[in-house]
Amino acid sequence: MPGQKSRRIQNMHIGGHIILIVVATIILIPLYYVFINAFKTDAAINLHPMAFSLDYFTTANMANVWRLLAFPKALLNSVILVVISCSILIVSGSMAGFAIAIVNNRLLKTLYIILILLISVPFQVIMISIIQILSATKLMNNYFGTSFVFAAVSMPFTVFLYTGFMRAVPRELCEAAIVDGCGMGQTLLRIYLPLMKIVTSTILILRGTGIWNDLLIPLVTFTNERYDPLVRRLYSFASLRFNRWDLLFAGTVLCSIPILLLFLFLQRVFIRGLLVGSVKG
Amino acid sequence: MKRILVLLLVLSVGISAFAAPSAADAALKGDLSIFAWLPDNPDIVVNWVDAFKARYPNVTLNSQMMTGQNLTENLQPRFASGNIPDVFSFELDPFSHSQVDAGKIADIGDTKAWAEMVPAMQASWTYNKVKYGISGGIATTLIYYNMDYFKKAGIAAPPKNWDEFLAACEKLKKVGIAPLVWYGGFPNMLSNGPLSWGLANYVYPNEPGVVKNMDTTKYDFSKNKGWLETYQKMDILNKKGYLMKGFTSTDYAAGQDLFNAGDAAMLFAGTWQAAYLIDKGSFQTGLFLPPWNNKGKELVVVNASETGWAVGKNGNEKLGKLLLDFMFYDNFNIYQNPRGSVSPFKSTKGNVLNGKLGTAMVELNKYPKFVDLWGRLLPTPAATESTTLAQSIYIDKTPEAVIPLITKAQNDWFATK
Amino acid sequence: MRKKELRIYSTFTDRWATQGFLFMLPALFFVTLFIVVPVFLNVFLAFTNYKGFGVPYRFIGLMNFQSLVTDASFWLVLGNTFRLLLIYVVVLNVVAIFLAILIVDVGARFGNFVKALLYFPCLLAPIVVGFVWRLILNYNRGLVNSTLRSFGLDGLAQNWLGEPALIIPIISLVIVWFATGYYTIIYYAGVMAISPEYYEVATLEGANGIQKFRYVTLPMLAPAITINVVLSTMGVLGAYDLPTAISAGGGPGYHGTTLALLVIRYVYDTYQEGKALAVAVIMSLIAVVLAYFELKILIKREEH
Repeated sequence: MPGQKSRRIQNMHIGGHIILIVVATIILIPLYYVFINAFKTDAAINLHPMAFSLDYFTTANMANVWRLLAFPKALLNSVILVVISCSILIVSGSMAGFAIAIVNNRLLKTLYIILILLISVPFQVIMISIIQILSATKLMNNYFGTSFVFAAVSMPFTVFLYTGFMRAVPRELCEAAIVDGCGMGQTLLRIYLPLMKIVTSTILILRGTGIWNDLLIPLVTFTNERYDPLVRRLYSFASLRFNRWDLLFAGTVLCSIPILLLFLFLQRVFIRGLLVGSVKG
Repeated sequence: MKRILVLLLVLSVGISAFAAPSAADAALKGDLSIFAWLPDNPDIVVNWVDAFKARYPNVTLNSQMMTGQNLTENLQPRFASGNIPDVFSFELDPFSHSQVDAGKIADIGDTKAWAEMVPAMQASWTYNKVKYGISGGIATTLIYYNMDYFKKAGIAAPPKNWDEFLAACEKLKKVGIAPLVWYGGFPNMLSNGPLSWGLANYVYPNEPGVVKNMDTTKYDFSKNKGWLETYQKMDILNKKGYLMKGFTSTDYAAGQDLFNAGDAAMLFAGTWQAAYLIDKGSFQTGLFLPPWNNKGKELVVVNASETGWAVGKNGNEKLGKLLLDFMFYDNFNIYQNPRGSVSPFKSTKGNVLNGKLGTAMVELNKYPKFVDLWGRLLPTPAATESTTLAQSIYIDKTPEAVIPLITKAQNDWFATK
Repeated sequence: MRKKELRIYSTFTDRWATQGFLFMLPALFFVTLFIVVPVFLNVFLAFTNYKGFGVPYRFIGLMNFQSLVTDASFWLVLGNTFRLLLIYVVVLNVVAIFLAILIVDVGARFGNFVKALLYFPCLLAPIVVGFVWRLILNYNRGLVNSTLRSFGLDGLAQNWLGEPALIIPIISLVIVWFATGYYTIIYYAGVMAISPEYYEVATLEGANGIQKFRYVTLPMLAPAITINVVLSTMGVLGAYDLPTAISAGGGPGYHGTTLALLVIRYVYDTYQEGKALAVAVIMSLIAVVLAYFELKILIKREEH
């Protein structure tokens, strides 16, 4: 009887593996397509898009696109934007989430509901007026102006996540902090934020990649090339009138490497965080 | 051996003396920006910038490539927020005219490049007496064809009118060759191609003042039968089965690839695409003027300017004009040679022009009557709507149903103007 | 003991009430200045012939809205938007829940690998993803059709991107491909948070796999489902980069156009920003109504 049961579980696992391998393949084929063609000449891309052969191999695209993107400068711009916006998001998001989770009076509850409803505002709805506001506040063509917009657009989601998870933290921890003489800020900083590593890294992964890859916001808020992030520059190869796939694919690979590294780094924290959580639980 | 070394030494000294910036150029200081729409050749701008930096080492020059599909989409926020680039790609359209009127564009009548431009292009680039841009080239759409397939189908000479065109398509179809690559997935080229030639041959002859009429009054597109005929002609090609299978999703780049791969016999394409299309497949490519004229009528041609270049009136226009002259007077070949486009200048020294394209342009200039491209002549909302509808006639609408929809777009816009 | 607890609870709300409000201020500042104010400005401008920053404009009443509702293509676009929402939200959430459970099931090593892999598409710019899929689905030379043809299945080779009926489902599925990783991560955290005791009890009661899913996993996942359904609805309602790239700007005809694309079309292609804002107002109304009902229904389920 126990043997039978474990065999059934094993069968289920094999089935699960097979399904996941199929899913992984579906995910991988287009990625393979991008990657392999980043190292081929334009002619070879058109004629043999899926082929893997050293005959077509070239690194000229990479060199070319590096020059055309002004890669180091654009990379720096992207990094600056992600760092500023994510810092704002994490600081003000966790503060708001903490206040709502702990204080929870009528005023904050109402504000919370309004905040959550703002998740439903698509960027197109505010795009046009954003130009007016940024121009009026002299924040057009400014790293901070753009980061503020990014932060604002992601804020409802961030507060939502922090509130949900902070509500689940046992109240006794908070009481202990008060007994120790901690203020509200110290309680957040010393007790809550360390417990929120998973949430924070989740937000950094989800919103960091979103900001990195966003096109519409920089398109609207930057009219000076000095500030252009990578994806905004990459988009100049990605036009329907365009037939230089070699540059587009090479550019895509280049632009994805930094964010891939961030992801892999955060994923380790993410997983470790999960393990710590489960040990404590 | 020694002599060669000496020669090399002399040469290298000579070259370095030649390449080194002159004292006056080196003394020039400033800050400049280019905003360019050159999706096919982003390298051109980088090459311009490198050449400029070599000559004027103390002038900072930034370049930004346009993103997306539409130049105005990019320029509008820049102009609105007062970040006008120094030299930028510019269209001959209502938006550009509004910017000229708003005093945001420098008059470049005093540049060497302007003086060098042919009179027709000077006329196109003058608005309310402001000389506001340099043409990127003389442009039209032509039909590029596969000469081997024409021979195989027994077509002796390129067709000269609509009936002959249909007959040629029929012959090709009979021998199993798809007659036309058709940009069903990229309506902008439908607008530059068949819509523009339809406007020239059916709309314009009935109503020479059509552009003014559309801009200044409410306009009913059913009054002039030429509009309907333009769409009907496009519909006939599909009904008779002359368009390549699956054409409703054929894109710009994909269409060119299909033609070069020999999947169909003909392709509508701009003169600006010459470098990618003439003799790039394993066959001889020919060119002819789209014979959209009905039998017995003289052809009216599309003869226009490519997207051009202007200088912003932003306080820095003196340097901006210097850069414009550097790009189009001193170093036009950096731009022209990789594209093989038709120069807008009197002197074409150093240009690389395919002989076949040159012949076609000579032929084009024989016709006395000509119009600009569809997208420039129609007010923008009507142009955009009619371009999308050029796709719809192949999917879910008859040409008759399309006309009132364009009228609606036009008049809704006019009412809120 | 209980009394003391209550007393401390109330100290949180009372003593930290002012401070709590102060803590919310930074977040409120950003959303007010960059979301709330623009939304109100937008509503006002939707009744004008606004053409862009710095251009004079005038009040034109309901003309923008009138122009829209008398336009058959607007209703087509509205229908496309709802079809996209429905297909995308349902398929995405079903697939993501299923994958999250499978990933937990196959164990940490392989599961983490797949989880990371699933997120890879999100690391690419959506605009590029759209172009890549447009290449893959190309009628003449694309990977899908050439694969089908090489197996002799020419009949199945469709004009994927040129058929009015196919384009919205294709856009939906490509966004599912793109976004699954994002939502799977959230579901994964939800599945991991379910205490194993619940499954043990269910096993003791003789529940089979499907019953465990129905009576343990699904109810416990309710909060994650709520957030994911709302997020995916709002995400796809505003999705622009990927749909525009895959449908070449909303084609064929208007069959690949959604409200999000229509806004951009009126802003950048026809320079009728007032009309674009009218579309945006309609979009906001849809978003608010959908969010309200989704939250109401799903939170009710959570409570059960």
